[in-house]
Order: sequence, then structure tokens, then C-alpha cells
Amino acid sequence: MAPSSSRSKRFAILAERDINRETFIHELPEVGLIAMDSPLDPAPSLRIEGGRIMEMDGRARRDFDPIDHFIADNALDLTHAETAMATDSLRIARMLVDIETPRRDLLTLLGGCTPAKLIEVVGRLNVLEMMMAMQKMRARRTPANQAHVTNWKEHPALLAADAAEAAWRGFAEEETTVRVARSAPLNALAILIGSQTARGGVLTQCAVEEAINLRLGIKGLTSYAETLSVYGAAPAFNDGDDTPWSKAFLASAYAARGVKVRFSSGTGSEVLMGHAQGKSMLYLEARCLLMVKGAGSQGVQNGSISCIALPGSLPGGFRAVLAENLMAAMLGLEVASGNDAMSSHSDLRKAAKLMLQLLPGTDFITSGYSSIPKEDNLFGGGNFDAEDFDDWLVIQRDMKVDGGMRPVREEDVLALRRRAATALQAVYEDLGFPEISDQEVEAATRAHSSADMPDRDPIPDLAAADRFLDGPRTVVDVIRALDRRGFPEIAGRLLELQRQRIAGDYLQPSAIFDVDFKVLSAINDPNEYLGPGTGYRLTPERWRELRDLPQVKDPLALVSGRADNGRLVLQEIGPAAEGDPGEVVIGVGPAFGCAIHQTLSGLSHADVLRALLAGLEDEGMQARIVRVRHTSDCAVIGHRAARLSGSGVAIGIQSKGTTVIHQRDLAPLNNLELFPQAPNLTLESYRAIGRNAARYAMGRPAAPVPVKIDNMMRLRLIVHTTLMHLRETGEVVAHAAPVDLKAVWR
Amino acid sequence: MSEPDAARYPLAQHAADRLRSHSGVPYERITLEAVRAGEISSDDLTVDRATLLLQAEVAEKAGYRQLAENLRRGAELVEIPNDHLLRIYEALRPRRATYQELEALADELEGRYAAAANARFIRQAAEAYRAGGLLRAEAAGS
Repeated sequence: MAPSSSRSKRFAILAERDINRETFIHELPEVGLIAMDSPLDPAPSLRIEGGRIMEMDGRARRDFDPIDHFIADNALDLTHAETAMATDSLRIARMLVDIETPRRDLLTLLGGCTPAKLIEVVGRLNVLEMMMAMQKMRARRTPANQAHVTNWKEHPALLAADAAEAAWRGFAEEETTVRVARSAPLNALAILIGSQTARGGVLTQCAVEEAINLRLGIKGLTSYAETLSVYGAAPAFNDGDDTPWSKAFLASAYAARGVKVRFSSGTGSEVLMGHAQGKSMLYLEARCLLMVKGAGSQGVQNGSISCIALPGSLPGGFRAVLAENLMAAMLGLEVASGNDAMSSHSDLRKAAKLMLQLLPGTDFITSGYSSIPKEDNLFGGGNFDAEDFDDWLVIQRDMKVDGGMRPVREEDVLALRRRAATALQAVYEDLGFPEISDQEVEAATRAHSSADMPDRDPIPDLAAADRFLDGPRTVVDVIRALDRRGFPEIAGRLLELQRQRIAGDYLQPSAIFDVDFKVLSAINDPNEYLGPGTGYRLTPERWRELRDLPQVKDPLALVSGRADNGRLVLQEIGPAAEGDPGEVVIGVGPAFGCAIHQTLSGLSHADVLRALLAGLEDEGMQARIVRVRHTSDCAVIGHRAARLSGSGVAIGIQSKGTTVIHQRDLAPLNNLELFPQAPNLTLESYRAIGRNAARYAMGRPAAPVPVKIDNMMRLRLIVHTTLMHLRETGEVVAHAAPVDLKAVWR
Repeated sequence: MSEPDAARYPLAQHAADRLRSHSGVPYERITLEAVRAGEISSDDLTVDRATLLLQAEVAEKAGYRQLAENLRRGAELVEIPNDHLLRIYEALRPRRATYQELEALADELEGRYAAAANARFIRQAAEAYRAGGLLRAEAAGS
């Protein structure tokens, strides 16, 4: 970098941009700092003897590590493996984007692919092709989203209120976690009651240590688990103090208790733990995903998750992250596709990355949208948080894409938050937990973050949590308490969640419950995308819901009203003819001072006209006001007025305030001065325009009227501009000749 | 009683009359009124082995073989108490058990709980742990 005295001012500004707060590095394959295509990644290979895999990806069975063993003996479908491995990877890649090849056929073929084969296939796709493949390969037809619900104070009333709001906003799953491990049962309880207050069927979980996690599920306080992490390198797995078999056994144990399970993996975790062994992040992730499949998990959350900045530091990193989401879908797994941990300092880069999952749609677009402010996110998440709700909703509306969220009204949210906190208050009282006061309920109702909540004494809360976890009480006691205390509807929804565990329908791939508490999974809502006109399409009802945001305005209401109270009356006094050489004509548009009384920036036509006249008078010129009726176009108004003007110079002005100084001899679309951005004009500018017009008419030199540049003006006002112009155009009378006006001010 | 047909997924909608909890309470009798009347305890809210086997069949037919196997292993674990499940999990973690201990665990699952699929799975783990150094060294034990 050059010393500061000789630095480019532009480069100095660029250096301060958010994007340059990130760390970008060159690849370092020998330690695994490489997203895809490490020179140390093995080539695909498979040798089967006597129904047993004897070699996989260049490694003989006798050299298998435990992960190889697990994959070879549980994950690969041997009936299709030889066909799959013999099929050219480019051909499989093309089948992935081919709208004639159904997902089901691909799942069969891909079920026989080794980790190295899988990465070779996805390596043939660019990101757009990966998105096309994702659109076809994701398991569930209807996309959904998952929310994080936590707060730094672990305030139960706030957890319940936030869980209610998140459910109302459309999240199909909510997960919480703990700041203090012992809080787990009460945090799980708070989001369970909160979520079901808003709608029945939102799945909830509390991410804690495996044994406690399972106990929460057994007690009926959670309905899914997502904590089962796997790693693609054996030493990393060891560091996690688990094996593929221990994790797979846990998955079966959850199934035995009717709890949905999703595993967790993601690029970057192995190299972060120092165990990548020179393999690319994507190769190790392919191993993870085959373990997940081999363990019989219905799905996975991946997409680098908490390591996202690591692939993000490398070339092609975000492409690799999309590739890992896609590989999961290619193996028939439900995918909760990351976008949870902070992926960039730059909003532009974050949004660009999000598009890779949002546009094709995944089973859960994020594996944790922070439905609370990121400061309260105990997962360290918050890539998109509660302050981005409206941005997300607008993006859905812009793209006509379903990102799993819906617009809500403030009054509904306040009512649900209060009800959720009140229900939890009642359960706390009924079960003898430390009191939640009315003041806390009220604070939780209106709170944005834990900063808005009173502090609680953690000691009795934690003691109650311990008793709850270790004691005999279960969700049945909670259901009874809700019912007894006047919340039978919420009690019924909690019970229905338990009934669904008995039915087991939501153990199938990619299961959620819809707003009617009906299961939607890859079994009864399979993604059968086969090109345009197939797959998930917004129903007219859903589109109306996503389209009609509360802040959307009625266009007709935007420019109506705002009458002038008759401050200016423009009386027609007869047809306009050519005038004296000592005059400048002010040509006004068809609606000026009659149908419309104000410019775009809210200046009254009375004041604007007075300023123009004052400017002409400053230079000693006569003025004549003429209404041009056959057009609403600014240049034509100005030129028509100039042809009537005795001096040959005229000012043309539209009702919205756009102004031109024109001259009879110029071509209509040429001009002396044009002021296209009406909102930038002040009364002083209009007066200066008047003065300049006079000087042009007298043949004296005139310095153009200075106008400031405001790039946001068009963005802010183009809708108003259009509507106002439509209104003026509505006043046009075809072929009508200009008329002289007499201005009367009151 | 005939088993509900896997094609009737979701079972909660199409086969509710044939579902039972593990404790034997018919699915349709699990109501808020019954909870209110004290007729339902948390033991009545666990999934039954037969239901999991049925869900395994649904998964298998839809092409999710490994999920089906997991659900079948899960079906075998329905009978096993929570604490015991956690002990088996613990034994499967790295270097917690010897080869013989894992073998004994598999035998117990097979003999006492008719959990043949889990037993096979644990024997598979024992072999892989032996090859991969994930067993507890005999001498270092207890």
C-alpha cells in the first residue's frame, strides 16, 4: 500500500468498506484450506466382491478408517453402485439439470456413488446449474424456514413471546439453546408453549448436549433434534467424542421415542479442528453426508453452518457451500441450508449468497433465521435477524419466491406475544416455578430484545429447571396446567404434537406440519419438479399473502387530495395567440393549478408560479401565462409556449414541477435549460429559472441555474411521479388549442 | 387386527382408527378430555413398535432404505428404558468399551429385547472399532 500522503482517495475509501473487513486467503491444500478439488482428494473408485465393498475411492478395505467402514457398509446402495460408478460424471451432472430426468431416477443412481464420485459430479456444475439441480432435487415440494429463538437473559416470558411471533411469521421449526446449560428444560418449555400459542404444529427443539437433548425429547418438551454432528475426518470425529455408530444409535433412540432427527455437518469444520488431512472441504462433507444417510437420518443441516467464513475466505467457497447443500438433496436428505451464522460484513455479499438457496428453494432456506436481534442470538447466528424481517418479505415479493415467511400485522403480533407470555406465566404458577410477574409479561409483549426485559434471579429459575428435568413431570403436566388455567386451545395443540409422535408420520423425510396441523413430507408432498409448470408454484392465495405487505399503499390514494384551498385560481380568458416581443410565456400543463395543486416535492403551484413571475420581473420582463392542453409532456409544453411567446422564449412547467426553458427555434426535444428532477427545485430555483428565461429573451448572458444531484430522489419518488403524471395526462384534451390564463391569488 | 396399509400415509389421517400408543391406548382415545380426566399419562404418549415398522415400510417403498433401517432399529428400541438407551449410546462412544463388551451388548440386545438389527449394528461397530483403534484398551479399563 502506498503511504497515506500519496494514496488514491478512492482506494482509501474502498479499504474502509465492509467487504474489506473480511479475510481472504490463497488456497493451502496441504492442510485442507481449499473448498473443492484438492490435489489430495482421491479419484472415485469402487470394487465390490461377494456383495461387500473391498475398495472405495482408492482405499482398500484393510486400510479403511471407521468412516470408510460406516459408509461402505451402511450408506451405499450396492445394487446401483456399479452402474453409478461406471456412468460418466458429466453425464450425471447433466441429468441433474435435465428437466426430463425425474428426481426419483437420480436418487436411485446417486445412491450408488462414493464420496469422490459425488464431488466429481457436482464439480461439473456452475452455481446456476447447481441451483437448477437444487430446485429439482430438494425433498419436499413446499419450501419452509427455521427460526432461532433465544435471548441473552434466557428470560422465559421473552422466549415464549418471541416463539409465538416467529410461529406467526411462518417459521415451520424453531430452535432454542442455552447460555447456561441447566436452563435447557425451561427454555424448551418456553418456546414450546410460545410457538403453539401462535399455531399448532410448529416443531421445536433445544440444542444441548446429546443425553440431555434426548431426555427433553422423551419428556415431550421438544419434537425434533438437530444436534447430531458428524465430521468427515476420523480424528475430528474422535475430538467430538463420538463415532458414526454412536450418532446413528442416537438417531434410532430418537425414532424410538417418536422424535424427528436431523444431523448436522458442514464444510470447514474438519480443517478448523486441524484434521482435514489435505482433503478439500467438499470431499470431507461428501463423507459426512454419506454417514448421515447411512445412519438413516431423514435429513441434515449443512451449508458450512458456523464455519461459513472459512469457505468464504477461499476462492469458490460459496459455490462449494451450495454444492454441499445440493449433495445432501442428491442423497435424498432433507436440507436445512445454512444461512444462519454470520456470512459476511457486507450486506451485498450476504444477500448474494442467500440467493443460492432462496431462489431454488430448499427444505429450510436457513437452518436458523434469527427471529430475535442478533445480540440475543445464543447460537452466534444472526446472519439475517429480526431487523431484517421486512427486507426478507420484500425480497419474496420482488422475486415471487416463497422463503417461508409471511407478513404480519403489529396488533396480531402484540396479542399473540401477550397470550404466549401469559400462558407461560400460568404454567409457571401451576407447576410451582418462580413467578413470572405481570410486569414481565407486559415487557415481553412489547420487547424487541432482552435489553427491554427486567432481570430475573437466575438461582431459583435454575433450581426449578433442575427439578423439572430430574423429576417425574412431563409435557402431560404442562398440558393439564394450560387446560386448567384457561388455555385449552394451547393445551390441545401440545397434546396434538404428542399424538403425532405416536403416529410417527413426521419421522419421514423433510416433514413439517402445515397451518392445519397436517404433515407435509417427501412422502405426501414430494418434489416432482420437471421444468416450467411443475414443482412448487405459489398458489393465488399464497401469492396474495406474500404480495400484500402491510406497508403497501393504494396507488390512487397516493396523489389524491391535498387541495390548495383556492389559493391560486387560474381563469381561462380565451384562446392564446402570439404576443409582444417583450414577453416570456409561462406554459403550464393541463392539470396545473386545477386538478393538481402541488409539485412532487409538495411546493404549492401558487408559490411556484409566483416565484417564476418574480424571476421574470427581477429582469424586467413581461409574463403571460398559457395553459397547454393537448399534451402533458414537458418539452412539448415548453416548445408550444415558446412558439406563442413574443420573445420566442418560454418556460414550460408540468404539474409535478418539472420545468424547461425553451426557445421557438429549437427542436422540440432540445432546450435552453431542463430541470428534470422536480423535487430538487426550491422556490429560489424557480425564481432563478424565471430570471434566466428573461435574460435569454433579452439576449443577455445567463449562467445555468445550479441544481444539486440526489441519486435517491428517483428511487423515493418514481411511484409518485408516475401517478402524478398519469393524473396530468388524464387532463389532456386532444387537439385542444392553448388558452391564456389569468392568475388570481387569494 | 389387520395392520394399516403403508399406502395410507399419513397414518394420522388415514389410519388413525388402527394406531395405538406403545402402552396400548388407541390413538383416537388420546384426547384433551381424557387427559383432563386423568386417563392419560406420559407413558401413553410413546410410539409403538408396530407403528415404527409401518413407517419403515412407508420409507422403504418411497426409496429411503437407510431411513427405513433406522426406523426398524428404532422399533426395536421402543421396549428399552431410557436410561438403558443412554448407556448403550455411551458404550458406543470412542474408547468406552472393549470388543467383548460390545459383543456382550449385542448379545443382550438380541436375546433380551429381540433387537436383532441393533445387535448386527453394534457388531459392525465392534469390528470397525477394532480396526480403527476406537476400543477401550483392556488394561486401561475400569
